[in-house]
Amino acid sequence: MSKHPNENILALCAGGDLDFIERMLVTLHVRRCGGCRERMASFKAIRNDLASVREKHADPLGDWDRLSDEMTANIRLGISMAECAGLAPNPHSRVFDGFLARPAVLATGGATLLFLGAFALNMPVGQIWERVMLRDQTGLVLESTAAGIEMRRDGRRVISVHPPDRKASRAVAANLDGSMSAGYVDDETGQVTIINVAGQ
Amino acid sequence: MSPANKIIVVLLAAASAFAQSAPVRGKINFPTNSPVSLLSTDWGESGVQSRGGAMDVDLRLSLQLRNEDKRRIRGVTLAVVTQQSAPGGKAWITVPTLDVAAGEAFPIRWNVHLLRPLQNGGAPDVEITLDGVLFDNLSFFGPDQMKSRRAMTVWELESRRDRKYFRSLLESQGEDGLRAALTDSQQRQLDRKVQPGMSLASGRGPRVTNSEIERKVDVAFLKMPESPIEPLSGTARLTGHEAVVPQFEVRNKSDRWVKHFEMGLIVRDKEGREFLAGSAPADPSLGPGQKSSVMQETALRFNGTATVDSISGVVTSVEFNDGQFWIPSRAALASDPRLRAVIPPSPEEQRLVQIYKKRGLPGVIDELKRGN
Repeated sequence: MSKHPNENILALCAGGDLDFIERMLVTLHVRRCGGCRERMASFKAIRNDLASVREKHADPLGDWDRLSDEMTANIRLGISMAECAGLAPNPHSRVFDGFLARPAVLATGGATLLFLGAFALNMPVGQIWERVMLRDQTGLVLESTAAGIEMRRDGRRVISVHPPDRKASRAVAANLDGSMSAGYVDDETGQVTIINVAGQ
Repeated sequence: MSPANKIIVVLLAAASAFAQSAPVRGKINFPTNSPVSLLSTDWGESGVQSRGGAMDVDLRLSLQLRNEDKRRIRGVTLAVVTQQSAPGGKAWITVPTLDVAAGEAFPIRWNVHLLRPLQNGGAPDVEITLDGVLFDNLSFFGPDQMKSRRAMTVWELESRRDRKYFRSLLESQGEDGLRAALTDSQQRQLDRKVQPGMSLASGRGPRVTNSEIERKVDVAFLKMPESPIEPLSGTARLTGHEAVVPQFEVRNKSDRWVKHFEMGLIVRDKEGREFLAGSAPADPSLGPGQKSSVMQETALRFNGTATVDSISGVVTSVEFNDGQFWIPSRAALASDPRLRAVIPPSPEEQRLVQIYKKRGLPGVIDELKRGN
């Protein structure tokens, strides 16, 4: 496996939430890939931190387990729905996307999760769907990423621009007129290149 | 091979087959009177995949262009037409610091990833257009929809300033002086890598949570010698990882009308690290001696553990109504250690440092011998 799993997959794997085959594929990859190993470790660390917070502040809201289950269900639903709707794809992980982004598989999986989640939480299905979608309703966001610049609208990634050589050094600048730019020196051509993304 | 491994191989093969993408139907659309022509296009590993109700276009483009004009080309900006392909956004690429003579060819490479609606009526998956070309006499060709004329002109002026500076160093201090300056610049570029990731959210202020209390703070301004614009006051709202600079007031110190200026925003985090996070552009149309308030509502949000402690501003460029520009001199930039630390090297200085790393001092000296 030469392609890198995306962050959703790594996060799910760190939490033990992947199925057997996917977990094995990711584990094999992570053993050989230092970058993915680091990201996986950071996800595990976050998970541990949350666990320790939970221990220190036992049931501050009275029903932590229920909240935790609800959040987990929503995260899984969000990932499934995003993949199903073609959102947040990762250009590096076509193998994983191939597994997970098949509309029929995801529609079935998403619907199953939705109903199971609703049943478990004793909530109307429509309410869960609303929560998942509203969580991403943040309007236009431009973001600097490890690879370059991304633009999301209502949580959907609509554009990402990055240098051909992802290791190229770069400095990102945000312009308060609603654009973001990153400069880098192209290793192959020696040219300085400025990539830009803006909302309309 | 064990049965389990065989299953994995079969699944992997099936997944790879599903993941195959179709070739991109791309269009390079330059105007008929364009001063650059297209010699060749390499779509590389570009591909299009269907994802639910959208098409996922992965563009990895390498172009060979030729200067068809008599003037030397200093910069080129290309845009991805996204009105239909990525609703709500636009992307473009600028290659400054060029020096392309008439008839010469030059490459441009870039990668873009975007979504477009599934139904596009047979239109190309992606269309590349020419937004602008800047020539050595600072004249410009193109629709300038991305405001590339202003950006490329500022970079060209910075390029001339920095090439003059390095040439004067070579003349006055010899190769040792030039080497020391390039090494210093290289180190500054490395130091700037500590800049945390950030995002930009339009039309709303910081989100306030129980653990993050909003603070209103004054914006301090760094003195930029010779700047035609004098910042007078400003306020910012800070909330944990987020900052909004909603308003600042400036005065035009010059005897000319100011059409546009850029205010660099320097952010200091709780650990005392400072970096130039971006800029606040303004189009005040400001007469000599006049004051003006600039309003902004865009939120800057920093990723990871960076917590915003304070924000400072500094004027980094000014455009006058007569088309002339002001940029800081090397002496002005060196006048304050904070300025020197946070203002990034110009694209040309970055390019010269890259040449120094690849070809050594002789490569830089050869490079400095050419025109402007």
